[in-house]
Amino acid sequence: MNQQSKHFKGRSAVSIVLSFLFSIFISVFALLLICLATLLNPGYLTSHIQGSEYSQYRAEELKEIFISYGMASNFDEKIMSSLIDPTQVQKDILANAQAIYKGQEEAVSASHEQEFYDKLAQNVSDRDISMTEENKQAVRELAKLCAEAYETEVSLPAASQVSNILGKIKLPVWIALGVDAVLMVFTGWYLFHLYRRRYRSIAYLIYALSGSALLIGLPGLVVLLSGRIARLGIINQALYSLITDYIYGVLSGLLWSAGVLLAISIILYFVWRAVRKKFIANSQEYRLKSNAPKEY
Amino acid sequence: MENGLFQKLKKSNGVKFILYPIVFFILSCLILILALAPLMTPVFSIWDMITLAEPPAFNQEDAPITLNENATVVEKIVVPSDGEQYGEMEIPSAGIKAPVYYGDDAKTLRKGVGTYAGTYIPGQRRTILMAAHNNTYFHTLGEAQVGDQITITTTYGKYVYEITGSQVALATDKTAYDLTKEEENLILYTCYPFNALGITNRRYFVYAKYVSGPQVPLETEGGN
Repeated sequence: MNQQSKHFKGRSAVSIVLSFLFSIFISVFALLLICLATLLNPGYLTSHIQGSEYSQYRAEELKEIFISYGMASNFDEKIMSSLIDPTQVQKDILANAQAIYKGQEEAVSASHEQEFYDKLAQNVSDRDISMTEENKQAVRELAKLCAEAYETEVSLPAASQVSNILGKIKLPVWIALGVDAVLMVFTGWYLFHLYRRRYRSIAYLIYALSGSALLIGLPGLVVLLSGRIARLGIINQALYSLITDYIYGVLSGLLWSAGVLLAISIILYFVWRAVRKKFIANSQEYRLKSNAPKEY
Repeated sequence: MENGLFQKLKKSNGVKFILYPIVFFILSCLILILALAPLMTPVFSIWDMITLAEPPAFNQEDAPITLNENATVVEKIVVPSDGEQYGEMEIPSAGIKAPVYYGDDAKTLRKGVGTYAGTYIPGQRRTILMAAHNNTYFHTLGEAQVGDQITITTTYGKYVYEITGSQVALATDKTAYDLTKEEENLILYTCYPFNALGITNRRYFVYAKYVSGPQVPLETEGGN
């Protein structure tokens, strides 16, 4: 009887450890999946560029810059504003965002310099100003300056560094996901088969899933409720809008994952109750051993 | 007895479904804290540095500033933030009256006269370099002559400078200005010619010496 008691306690300890490990593996798996779905997913970045109005803000900033250049070069606000096409700005920004994931520095290889020059030269002609060689050169310089400012504004900050990092972590993340999946399946399978009375195994699975839900969801919830994300000290409105939107999306992903794990735990709880109830109802052995020492 | 035992079992399981996940969560956090302990202090410091007390405000109209014409003494000058208006400039002989901002990026120059952030501001006993667009605020800068006065009224005092000279130089000509002078002086510049079409490579410089205005004490010169 004592040996049986020790055996039960030993198995109980192993179950708790396995359940804890299973919880860790599930958490890591969920975090890696979120990483793949957000950080390493070009679609996630492009959807947030559109959703956060990043390109609209950038287009407005470009207009301000171009108007300022116009104030230094005898071109009025109207012509300088007309150089900016918000739709084209968005297209170029999205192309640059995609390029980050393809390992390219920039996708906007075609400069808009000639297009700007043509419009400015047309404006000069409309104003009956003679296009001398000196004027041509000066207008070309302005077009070049505008093109440079345009390329700076439509490219994402630190694009090449980010592209570099993303390129390096992609493979390790996939490998880690695979390894973790194997460990998770193995631990879960072993835990499930540790007890002949399945409701005990299910109980440990529930502990693991709930623990993972807490580990993934609670820190995210705390960060979200603290309001720190909204207080990030980013002085550029476009960048602020994009980064906060991006982070909120990741936090939402964490909370959704926690929610899914919790939902699975709840479903398993009802399964556990049903299996246990059936076992108690059908088992004569349980009734005979009702005075036996508790196994858990 | 069976019912009592069943109740006990039921109760203990209910507690375990709550207790074990919490214990797992706490253990995981402890493991993470132990593993990442060396990184936590710098990470939290950086996090504190990059977050503000309130969410940043954008697209706000410049708050009206209160100019101080009467101050005769200034112990300390707080350098304004980038893009912040801190004064007004007047050159009566050229008909110039414009707000003065700290910083000289394209957005700031659209609003008024910009102060190059690599130099100083009035009262700091050093060179002050200011620019504005030739087609707007400094369009008539060429009408200011030697001996004319430039008044810059700031939030901490009123400063008067007297024009000592002017010249046209290439934008890349570093001899056109001396930022290391150890006495307060003002340099204004803008693109040249004033009606130039497009971007030119020439600049019109106006040089002025300090006449009056509260300056920081000598032992703190060049700084706050």
